[in-house]
Amino acid sequence: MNVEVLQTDQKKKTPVSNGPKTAPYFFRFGLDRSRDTQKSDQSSQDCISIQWTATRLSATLCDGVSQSFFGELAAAELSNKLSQFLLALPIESDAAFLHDTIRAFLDNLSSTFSRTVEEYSLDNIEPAFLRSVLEKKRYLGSEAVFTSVLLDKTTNLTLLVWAGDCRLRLWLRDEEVTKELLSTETFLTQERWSSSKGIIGDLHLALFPVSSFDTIMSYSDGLSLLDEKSHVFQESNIAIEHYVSQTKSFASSDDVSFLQISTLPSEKLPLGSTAQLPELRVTEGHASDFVHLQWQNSALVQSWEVVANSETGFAKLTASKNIVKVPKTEIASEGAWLAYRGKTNGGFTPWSSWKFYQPPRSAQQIETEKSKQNAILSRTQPPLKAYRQLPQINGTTSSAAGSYRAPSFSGASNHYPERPQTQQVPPVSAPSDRAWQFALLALLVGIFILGSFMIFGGKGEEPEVPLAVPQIHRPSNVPSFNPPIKDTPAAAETQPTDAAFENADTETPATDSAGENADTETPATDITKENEATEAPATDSDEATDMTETITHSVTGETDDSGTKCHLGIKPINVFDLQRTLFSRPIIMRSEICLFPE
Amino acid sequence: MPYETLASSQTPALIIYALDVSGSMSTFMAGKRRIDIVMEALSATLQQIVFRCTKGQQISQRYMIAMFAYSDQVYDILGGVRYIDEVASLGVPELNTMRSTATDLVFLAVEDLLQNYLPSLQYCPAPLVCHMTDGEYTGQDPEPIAQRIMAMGNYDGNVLIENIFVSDNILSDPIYDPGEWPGIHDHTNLRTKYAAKLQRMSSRIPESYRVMMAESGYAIQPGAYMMLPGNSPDLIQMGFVMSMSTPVAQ
Repeated sequence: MNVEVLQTDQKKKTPVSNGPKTAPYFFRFGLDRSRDTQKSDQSSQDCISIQWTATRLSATLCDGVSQSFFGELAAAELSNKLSQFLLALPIESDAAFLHDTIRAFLDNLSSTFSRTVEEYSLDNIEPAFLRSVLEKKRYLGSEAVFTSVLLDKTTNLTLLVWAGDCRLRLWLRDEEVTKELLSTETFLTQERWSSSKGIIGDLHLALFPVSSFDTIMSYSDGLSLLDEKSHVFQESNIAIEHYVSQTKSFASSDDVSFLQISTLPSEKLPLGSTAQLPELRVTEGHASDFVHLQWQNSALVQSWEVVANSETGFAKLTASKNIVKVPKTEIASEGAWLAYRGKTNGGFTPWSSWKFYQPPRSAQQIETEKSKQNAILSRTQPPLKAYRQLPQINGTTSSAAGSYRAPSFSGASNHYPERPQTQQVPPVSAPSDRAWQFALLALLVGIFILGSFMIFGGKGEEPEVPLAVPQIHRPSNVPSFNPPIKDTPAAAETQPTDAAFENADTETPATDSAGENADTETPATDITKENEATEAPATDSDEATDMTETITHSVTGETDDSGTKCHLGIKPINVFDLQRTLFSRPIIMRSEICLFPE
Repeated sequence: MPYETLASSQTPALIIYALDVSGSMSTFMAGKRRIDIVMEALSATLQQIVFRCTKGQQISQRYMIAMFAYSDQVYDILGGVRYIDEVASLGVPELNTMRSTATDLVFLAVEDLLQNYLPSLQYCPAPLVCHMTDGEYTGQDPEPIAQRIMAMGNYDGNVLIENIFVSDNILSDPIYDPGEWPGIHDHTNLRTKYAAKLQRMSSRIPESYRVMMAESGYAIQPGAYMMLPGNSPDLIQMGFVMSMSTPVAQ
């Protein structure tokens, strides 16, 4: 048994075209990618597989579920394997038996295909955030909705199988008979085939004589605009392509696939869908910027229509002669399918079959395409230099923000222009793995503090000098506002002064040289009050005390060089600016031991 | 029908997050700092948005995100409006708590941003502002600004404001199961004046959002305000789910 297989290429457009004449039934099919998919040069998630012998034809149209794990994988696998299975399936049995057999096959296919999904590498996927999302999708599996058709000339039976919302329509003698033949059936979006679960929802099946219809059509939901067209089965391939091109302007532009099979003998097929003129010829001069499109002339034709159909557009022009001179630049660089037809007194002739033409690419175009490809690959991972701060707003709208140019979605531009770099103040800590930097800084500060104690700590141990901590003073040079600080665990462990800031009301700072003074709570409260006096209305019902305010812990009984009585204390120093320069993020505050006048 | 425009790459939905990072966000809830719970919920939400927008390995630019953190200043975390694929490449920032709660300033920043961007978003879904706070404002009254923002809009509808109030002191009756909670309505008894103010600063949930939330397992009833008491991680998560309930092209 000689089996012929035709499967659409998911990486490129297949314009609606007639199938080979070796097939036992006439069919035509087409596939196109959505605007976004084509723009990013991804695979279509639709796929059609048509397989036939001398007496049988099976076809499966699949629409991968975009929110599943690479729905195109499921679509490709399912369309091929299900068509293959149906082509060899005896359909003399009753429908219930066939239903169980096909369902068992699909469940079994899931278990084998799930391994492909599990092993699908995500190593080259960036950023990591996307990778983690895809891992979640992998867990749910790769999914597709589908319709399958099996036509058998030997038994004169037709088997339809489907799950999901791909359309399935039937006609008999120019009248649509879908409701009559499939009145009790449903096409639900949530029903599908999944690599992890097999059939989700119901597997639908219908079995009836081939004579019940003469045309059957299936298409994915991306072509839902055909739903309202009652005689679409009679329309030409070019007309269907025109509908396909229209879907690209929709907000919900989706991959589209189209399949039509007819059981009629060739002489009774609708003229628009079958009869075709020979292809046109494309000739290009060696040094010319033009190409010539030429076709056989006819005395009956008054004028000609030529269409150029590509993934990026559909164009039609009228010509008075059977030759047209077109600038190469007017033809899509990825190539275009060309067709023509004539206008006579009696109306239009049928369209010709497609002729594909791709203009030769110049070195400059190749370079441009390379840069475009790179842009596409890296588009989801633009490196941002840093977060930027919104200019301070003082009760009125920000004038600086007014300088931003708003994006346009009218087609002129769909990307935002980069705003001018403003002062780079990091209000947040960008996710990073810079713990070692924190640890290093913490170590340096620790050494600094330890060294300070070795220098200044001698007199603190004199037994004749009483130590007391009556209150905490706020040095005048400490700014009232400190930027947000993210304390890492490492920093908190090695920086006792910062730990004290975080837990000022409960802990005794380790930097207290005496160590026996346990009443440092009061000073912290003093500072809090001081802040309240200087801040905006303290009506904030925030339930926690401000955690980032700085405090000092002091030891009295010192004198400075001039003899003024001082206390020994810890002076916080805001190293925010320094850290921003070094690490592009705020880290901690450090402190130093110094004398404060009393 | 208002609020029916699908979020697509040609008509992206704008979501503006305004996140309170006042000092009180350091206090603990369910064993974690409030700010950490909020950031976890935000991270999960961004992942869900990316999930919705991903086809194959391509993140479709169906959403645009702006993110402000505020205390006594306003910080533009993302440096303006970013498409979701850019946000995904940035990852979720770690926020640090600061001091007071200048709610008026963040709403002014949101208003300013909308004034700049709305003209070019006329055919897109109505923008949504998701404000998360855990305390009363310390500056000027933000309500007039919020009312001005809610009066702005495009062909899809007026700008939506959602408030997530991280506090135990909002409702008289506890919420045992967020999945069965009907939401805050006109007759809901609110315990504080500030909660009532936030209610006035909140939009009513559009039907399309309500349907999307129902698909996510929530029982918000028609007419509910887009306001949630974030007194548990589940409710905070629910609030962020609400923020991304724009109908989206499949």
